[in-house]
Amino acid sequence: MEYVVETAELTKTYRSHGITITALDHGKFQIRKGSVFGLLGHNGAGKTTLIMILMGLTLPTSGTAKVLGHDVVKESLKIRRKVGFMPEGIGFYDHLTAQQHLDYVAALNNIPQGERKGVIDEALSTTGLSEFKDRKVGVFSRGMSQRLAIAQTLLKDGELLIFDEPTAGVDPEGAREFKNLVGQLNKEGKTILISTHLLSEIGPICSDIVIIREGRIVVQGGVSEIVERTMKEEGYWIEAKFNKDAASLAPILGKLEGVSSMEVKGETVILKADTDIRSAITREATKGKVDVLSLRRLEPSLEDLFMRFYGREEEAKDIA
Amino acid sequence: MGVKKRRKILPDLLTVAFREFSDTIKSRRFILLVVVFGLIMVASMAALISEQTSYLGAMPTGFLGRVARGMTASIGYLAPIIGIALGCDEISGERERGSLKLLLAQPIYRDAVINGKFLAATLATTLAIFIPSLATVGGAMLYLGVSPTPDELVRLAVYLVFSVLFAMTFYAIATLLSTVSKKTSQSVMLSVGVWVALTVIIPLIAESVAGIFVPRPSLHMPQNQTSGPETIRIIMNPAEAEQMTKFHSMVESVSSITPNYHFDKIGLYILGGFSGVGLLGTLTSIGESLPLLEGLGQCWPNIVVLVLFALFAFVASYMIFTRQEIR
Repeated sequence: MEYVVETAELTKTYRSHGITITALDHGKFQIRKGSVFGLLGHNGAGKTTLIMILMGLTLPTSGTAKVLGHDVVKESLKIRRKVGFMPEGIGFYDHLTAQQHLDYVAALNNIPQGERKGVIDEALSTTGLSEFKDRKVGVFSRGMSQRLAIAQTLLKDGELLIFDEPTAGVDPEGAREFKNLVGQLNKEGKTILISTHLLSEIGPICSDIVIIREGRIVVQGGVSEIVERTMKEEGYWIEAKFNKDAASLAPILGKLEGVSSMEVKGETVILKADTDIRSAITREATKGKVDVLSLRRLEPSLEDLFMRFYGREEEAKDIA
Repeated sequence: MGVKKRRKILPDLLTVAFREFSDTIKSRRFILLVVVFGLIMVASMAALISEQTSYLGAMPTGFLGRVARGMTASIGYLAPIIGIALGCDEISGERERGSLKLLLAQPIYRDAVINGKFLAATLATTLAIFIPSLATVGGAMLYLGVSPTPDELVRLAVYLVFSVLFAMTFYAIATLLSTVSKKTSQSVMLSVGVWVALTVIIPLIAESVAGIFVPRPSLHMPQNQTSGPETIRIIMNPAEAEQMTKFHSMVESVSSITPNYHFDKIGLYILGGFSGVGLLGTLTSIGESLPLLEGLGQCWPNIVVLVLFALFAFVASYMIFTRQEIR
């Protein structure tokens, strides 16, 4: 498998007011090429520190990290040349227009004068800023500034795009548009790293995640793998809907191997089992001459996973 | 899909410098600075010309003799303000706006940012000093009906170049304070504090300190004193004169820790007696001017110290900025 980001034992400590703060604690993770990667955690969890290290803007205290094969300490310029980056809290010059900003960024990225107009127009169009391109940024709303921040990220046509808290302070419409844009960019083959604490907005579009808490990575992997792993560990919730009252079928279903609890509501039965018993439910329904209208696993949402892993960390800390 | 490898079109430093310079000279702050600087210079020069003609009864000879004092008085105070106004938000302002993150997210080294800013500030400062000065000189030529000689023009140009260096010393100090300050308001206060300390407080302290070790002799005016430059005389016996020399020598030693002292000295040697600059209270006899090259030869230690002040502040801000954590 090809990775665009690989870190090993990445640690960052700061001295602040005489206290040593560990912002990142032996972080080890990879980002698959072509994935939409969610870096999840509460405010102050260490997400921005991690991103700043990946962009070569902050030096790690120890450990290593490579982005697109380049060492973050020795080759940070190469990284910034290839990676589109939208930092959290990015700001602009009030007296410049959107177009002038993008022209400046294009010049800093060494995009030839002849190509700039086309590249800038495309970025403006993608972010819906074409009609505001000659407006000074000082009068932009927060949402429009956020779009401009995204537009500057798109100028360099990077293989990897990093967005730090891209939907913070953005209205639901803006968040939806951002999700659509991420989907479109991902289809074009770009790998996308999104750092956020707003799970409900960004979570659903992530294929892979890392959950970070107080500088420590508490879980990582593909979302589906993590869901599967969690259900294996904590049990499968299965919802079955039948074409008639399930009361007659309930005693049989309750005796299926691994079933630990069951709730019956008219034609619907919700079971918790150690394994995925959907095929067994279908078999029993067929035997009992009951039609199965729907049969699905009630998978934990990203919010559920997030809270579960955060909770576990808290418990572990309490025990320690 | 990858990023095409492109040939460097323009060094990043120049890209940053061009943008900074363009933004600075179009800003209200810069335009206001130039206008205020020009007005103060004109007012100061008009007041001195009027004083020279009415109070002293006679005007010093030559073009520089009439305008140099007004110019040095204005530049001595205003050049640091230009430097501070341009430098006090160089880094803290970018940090507060969030535009520092925009810049550093791009594939450029940090030194391109700070060097580009420094280059742009040098050009902007040159404009801010030369435009009002040349306009005032032009106005004075028309008003007085006297044209400067080629030697006077060269002296003026050289003096203005050192004025830019003096302003850039304060720019570098303000940039250093802006680099270490979290907020621009803090950086502005610190910069103004430094300016007041170097321009007002240290010279006062110097006099007080000198007064402790060498009491300043009292000056006696002759009883039959009448108006007119030829009759201004101060009675001082040889012992008092020696004491006065020691006193001023001590004042100068203490004041030499400020860039202002060195700039005053450079001004005195370049514009000579024309400037009428009394170095920290000392009296300079008019007409004592040295040839320009000889004057520069005499004040080279002051030039070196002024350059070192600017260099030290700039290198310190450079080192801090390039090593600062971005969070």
